[in-house]
Amino acid sequence: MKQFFSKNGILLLTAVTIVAVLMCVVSAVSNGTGILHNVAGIIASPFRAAGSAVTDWVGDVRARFETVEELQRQNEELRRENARLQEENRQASTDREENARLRNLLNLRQQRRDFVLESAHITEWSSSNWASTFTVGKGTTSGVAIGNCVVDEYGYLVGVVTDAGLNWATVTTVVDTASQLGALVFRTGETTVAQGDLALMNQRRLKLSYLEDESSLINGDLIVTSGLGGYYPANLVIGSVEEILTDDSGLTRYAILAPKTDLSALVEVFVITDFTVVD
Amino acid sequence: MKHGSLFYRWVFYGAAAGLCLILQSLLLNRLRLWGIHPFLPPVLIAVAAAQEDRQEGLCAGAVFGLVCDLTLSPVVPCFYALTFALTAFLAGLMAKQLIVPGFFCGLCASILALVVNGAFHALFLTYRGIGNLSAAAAITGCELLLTAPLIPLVYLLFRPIHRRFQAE
Repeated sequence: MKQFFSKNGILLLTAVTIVAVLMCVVSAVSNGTGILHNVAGIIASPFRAAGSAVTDWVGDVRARFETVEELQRQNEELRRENARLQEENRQASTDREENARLRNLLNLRQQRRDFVLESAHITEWSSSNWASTFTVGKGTTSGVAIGNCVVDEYGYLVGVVTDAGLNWATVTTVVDTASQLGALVFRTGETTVAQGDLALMNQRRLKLSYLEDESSLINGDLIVTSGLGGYYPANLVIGSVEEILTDDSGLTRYAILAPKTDLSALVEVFVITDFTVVD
Repeated sequence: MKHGSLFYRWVFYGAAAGLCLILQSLLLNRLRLWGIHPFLPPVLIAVAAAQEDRQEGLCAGAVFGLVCDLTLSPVVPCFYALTFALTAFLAGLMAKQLIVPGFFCGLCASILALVVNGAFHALFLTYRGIGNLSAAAAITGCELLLTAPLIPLVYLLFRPIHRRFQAE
């Protein structure tokens, strides 16, 4: 056995090393997904889908056993929220009409946001505690590409596609350390940067950095994507300010953001494969 | 020993590791404490490498790491191939020169594997300018605390495979 491994083991190690080096080279020279990674993703897809089906089934069974009291409480909350939203909607429709009239008067183009959405089922969450990523069951054949934004059913930003194969794509969530987005404080229009932080990632929070000295940010402020550069669509809701802090040097301030999307409850997401925004 | 038994032994290890990865995906990923969940892959390779031949363990570590690189989302390409190969090498070294192969050796190798995994992650994240040593230490510590109770289960799963093929 030892003889076998002293001969073939070295061959096996060499093969693995060659594949590993190839992966590194391919990853370094290309912006897209490497062939090996793509093939591995395609092979893993049915297993991910099967796993996801089992997990969803278990989740459904668990959901059936939710107490009636809990459902009644949720129903009551939703009724209150519905009443509030109806009131806001009435006000918004008046504002919208007024806005359209004023835009016509000023000869401005009508504001619009057209998104081409591709729904995708989450097949697997990353097992690593060092990243916040998940895999969806749609890939380049469905028009999904690296850099596409991903939102939930309410339109809240979930993350960005960072890897895409034929029938799968990896989404890096907004709380991941690799995540960095141009952000805008909705109330004040202040531009800033929302980025993932290792210390906050597992609490499912992110950091709002580069705050201006005279920033009037307050807890609860809504943070949206700035859309600067045209890379990501503008006005996608990232989250709200939870806490404003000063860094260790005492010179700059930063805020902790709670994403609006509930990352722990995500089952299906929508990939923005194309967008047109006219402000 | 026949080459066939060597092949079947690693097929059995692969199947057992597959079972553990299914458990990881379906159950462990949802058991979050302080935002962290148990992470089995380094333990799988450490326990197997601690009870097998050093060269076999090293190859298994590299291959298993490569599979993880292709299916998980590593911080850099080949992260797990490198980490698990080193883990397997250290586990083999430990079993050969420091601790008598057995449960205690598997436990020590697994703890070392989780520490190496955490240290490498901290190193690469720091290199990319997004590291935070205290946060990295906290993640490693929590991961270790949550994964440690599962080491005996992995050992109990892998030990019969080693015994079954050792007898041949």
